[in-house]
Amino acid sequence: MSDRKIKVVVNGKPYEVEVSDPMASSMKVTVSGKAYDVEVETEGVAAVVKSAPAAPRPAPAKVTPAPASAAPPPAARGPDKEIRSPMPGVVLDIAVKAGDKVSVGQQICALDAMKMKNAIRSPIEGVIASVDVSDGQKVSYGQVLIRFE
Amino acid sequence: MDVSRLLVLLEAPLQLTWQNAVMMAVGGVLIYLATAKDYEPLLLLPIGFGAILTNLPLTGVAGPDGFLGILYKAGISTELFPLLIFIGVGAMTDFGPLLENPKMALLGAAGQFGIFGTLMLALWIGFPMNEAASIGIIGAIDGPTSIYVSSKLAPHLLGPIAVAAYSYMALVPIIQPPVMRLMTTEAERRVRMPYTKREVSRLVRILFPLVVTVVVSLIAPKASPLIAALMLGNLLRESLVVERLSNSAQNELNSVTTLFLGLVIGSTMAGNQFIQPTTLMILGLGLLAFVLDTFGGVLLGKIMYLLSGKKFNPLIGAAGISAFPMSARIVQRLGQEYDFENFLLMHAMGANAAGQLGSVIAGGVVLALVAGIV
Repeated sequence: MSDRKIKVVVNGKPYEVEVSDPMASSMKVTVSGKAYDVEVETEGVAAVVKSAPAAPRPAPAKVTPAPASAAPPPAARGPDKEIRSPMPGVVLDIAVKAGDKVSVGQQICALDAMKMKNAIRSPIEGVIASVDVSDGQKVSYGQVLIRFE
Repeated sequence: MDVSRLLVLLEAPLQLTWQNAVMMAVGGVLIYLATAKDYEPLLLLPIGFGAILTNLPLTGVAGPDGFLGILYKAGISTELFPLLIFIGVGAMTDFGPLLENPKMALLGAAGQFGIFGTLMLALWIGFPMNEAASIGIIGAIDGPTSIYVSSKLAPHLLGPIAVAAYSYMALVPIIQPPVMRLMTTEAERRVRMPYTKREVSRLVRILFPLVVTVVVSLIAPKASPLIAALMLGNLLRESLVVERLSNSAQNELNSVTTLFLGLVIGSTMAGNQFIQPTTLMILGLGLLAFVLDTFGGVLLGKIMYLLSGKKFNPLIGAAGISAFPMSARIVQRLGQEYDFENFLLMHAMGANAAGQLGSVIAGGVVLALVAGIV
């Protein structure tokens, strides 16, 4: 994966940044056209800027992948620690349970919408705290499927 | 016993031409694609069988008194079969995603670009107007519409046109993605579009088929039978009070008609008529029509991407064709390939439903325009 758009909040001020590979421990980050070398210390939560040409200094920053669109609806994604249903549908093939450790991109479950099975994958690395839906359950848009610890 | 009497048994084999043999092989290939590859089996299987049957000499099945000939007169010459199928298609189609997002109707128009682009090209190559229009209508990517229009304008081309329309429809998942990739940048393909929730009331859902029927019939009277059949089916579905009729239209009526339609289309594939340079041209132009449709849809998608301030994913434009819901699924799949958290499905379904509508209207427009010329 390359060039992921990520929203970084520094002291309450949001920045749109592009990241070469959000899972690498050391990554190239572009903020408003300026390139930084960023090292991630703990599972994509705290980031330390190694060599920044100038301010803004996004460290330590909370790294939250966010939709690229400017105004995501509040229900589209929780602030962090959960996966919500991206559209109405029926949950199938739940592949995880509470306590499981999942990696980025790992399939959590499938969502059957308009007679098409769609893979729901984990956007972050973490441990699952609870699975809030069951196989065959009808879910609405924005409903919480999984919570992380 | 007189030996010459035994020659009667050889009569049919002796009349078998190489063209017959080739078309029987083509029928075999269609049946193979249906059974082994699962390519539109509901259609390709009866078409393949019809093609084999019609190329057996002296059987008379496709003649005026043969059972396929009678079906042809009853269902194709009268345009009855495509219309009956449309009642089923209308009952199967959920126009909800389009009603939630009416601007998708634009994409349903852009996805018809292939019809008119191919029509122009066919005219330029030298096809007469009625044939060019029938070939262009392959770009409706809609079997019943193609059959309806070509049986009116150029019935002698029905076989190749129907075969092109149905076999390329099965190939939509292969034809569309390269065009979509070619026309978009990776950043465009990654544009996320969150689901936009909008409840569509039952009243709107019931009014929609009625209003569309009246408005389209007034604008393009020639499209009226097609659009009316489609909308009647949709009304059966959305009224929620005639579930039995809706189910019958979707299942029994649709299955029976599809079986007859497939057999009859197969019966138009007689060797001496089918094996001609024209057929190859039609197959080539038909493929081009599919590509141009995708091109037109994605192009408008890109314009909407720019106008929306880069919030519209241009891939959705590719779903503005009639292959429902296949094309919307392709958009969803391709979008997820680049960003697994991007769910374009519901938006693409809106465009796809619009494409379904657009192709029918385009068919009527072509009929009206050409009827005025020929």
